[in-house]
Amino acid sequence: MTDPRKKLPLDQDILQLLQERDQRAITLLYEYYSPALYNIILQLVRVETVAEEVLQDAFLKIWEKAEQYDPQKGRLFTWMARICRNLAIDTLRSGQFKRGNKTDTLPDSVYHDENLTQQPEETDPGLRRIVSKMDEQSRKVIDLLFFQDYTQSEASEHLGIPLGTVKSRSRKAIQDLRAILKNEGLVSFLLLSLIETLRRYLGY
Amino acid sequence: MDIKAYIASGILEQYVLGKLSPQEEAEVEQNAEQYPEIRQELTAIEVALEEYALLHGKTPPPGVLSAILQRLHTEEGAGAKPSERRLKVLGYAAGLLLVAAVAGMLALYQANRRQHGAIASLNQQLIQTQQSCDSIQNTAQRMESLLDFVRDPSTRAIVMASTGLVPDAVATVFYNAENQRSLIGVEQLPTPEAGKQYQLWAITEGGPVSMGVFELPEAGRPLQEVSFVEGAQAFAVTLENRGGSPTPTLDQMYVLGNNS
Repeated sequence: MTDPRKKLPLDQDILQLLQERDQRAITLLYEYYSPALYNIILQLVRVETVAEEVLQDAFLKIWEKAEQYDPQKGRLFTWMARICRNLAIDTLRSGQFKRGNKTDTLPDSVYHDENLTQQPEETDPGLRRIVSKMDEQSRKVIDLLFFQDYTQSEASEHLGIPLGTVKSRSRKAIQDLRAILKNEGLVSFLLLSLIETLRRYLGY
Repeated sequence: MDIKAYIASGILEQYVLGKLSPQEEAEVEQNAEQYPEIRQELTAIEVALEEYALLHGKTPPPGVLSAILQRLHTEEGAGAKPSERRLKVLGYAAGLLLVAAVAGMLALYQANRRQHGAIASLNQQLIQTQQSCDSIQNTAQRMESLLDFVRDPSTRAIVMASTGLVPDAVATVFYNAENQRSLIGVEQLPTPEAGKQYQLWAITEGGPVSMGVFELPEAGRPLQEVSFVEGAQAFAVTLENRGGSPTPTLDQMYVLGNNS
């Protein structure tokens, strides 16, 4: 029911540092969130050197726009992820990098880079366990909407399901994910590591 | 609104995934603000996707963080930021101090001016007080000398009573033959008409001799010096033309008293 992380001061602490223009905020955010954000960018731009650039730009933007983030409207990570996604898409649109994976003219094998999505599953046992518990449909819809940044109609087209079903399927997928995460106790695990990071860094 | 159905519709997932139009987003935000259940559900979705994303984390190549910090440093002067901020704060503080100092000086200046004004007016008052003091002292000295003269045993007070011209007319001559000095005090005489003046006469063996004209007494001057005439047997006051007359106008005699 209640989310233990919501009550934690961690994001607030980082936010406060951000708003105080304390550079440690960026280091903290980077230490904790950069892998997830990097992956989100990489899934879109596909090229590591490009993803690295975008990640840099994203953190600078997070630093610049920190005042615009409204904790009432959503979580810090959601906000940062959106910045990363937008920058990645801007980069793709700039023409320098073609986003081949979303055009219908290209076959599935080109856009669905198994290496990129499956690599973490092999290295992270926790993730492998989670993913193994999700059904294929759920996993796919989340990957398309969350990592590939498909629109609903693009996802509907790609999966060959009606538009309305994308909505209900993504709800079911996230519900499944929530249930699995809850059972795995990962929330508390991640929480502890987060607090640990913060403590270590701020010297509490 | 059926919140359960709203939540079950999957629109919140689409919101968190960023798949809604700005208009739809605003709608969701409004609903979330209104219904805590919706806010809670949104957070739960966010957390799930966040955990999922964290699980999928892929460590960026080394050096990215230092590159970011380097860029922060150069682009924003982030390293100098805290001291800059401190400087800014110091600047504000200095500005405030300056304003306070100027205000204080202005206040002091005003106070100073007020005090100067007060001092000047006090000075003025002091001068006035001194002047009035001097004049009172003069009066007092004059009174004292008059009193001394009146109380002198060789001074005789000759009361001149009404001749009947004006019933209650009374005046007094203080006559000191030793000092050869004489004063007149008027208790009651009618105010003379314009162009007229009272004159005091000494009645001697050789007839009336003028002792001079005099004014009715004013405040602080109850007695007036008049010329001394040797061998006065009686004194009389007549009303004469201003400046006096060589001989008394007898039908204008108001008071008369014997120097017995």
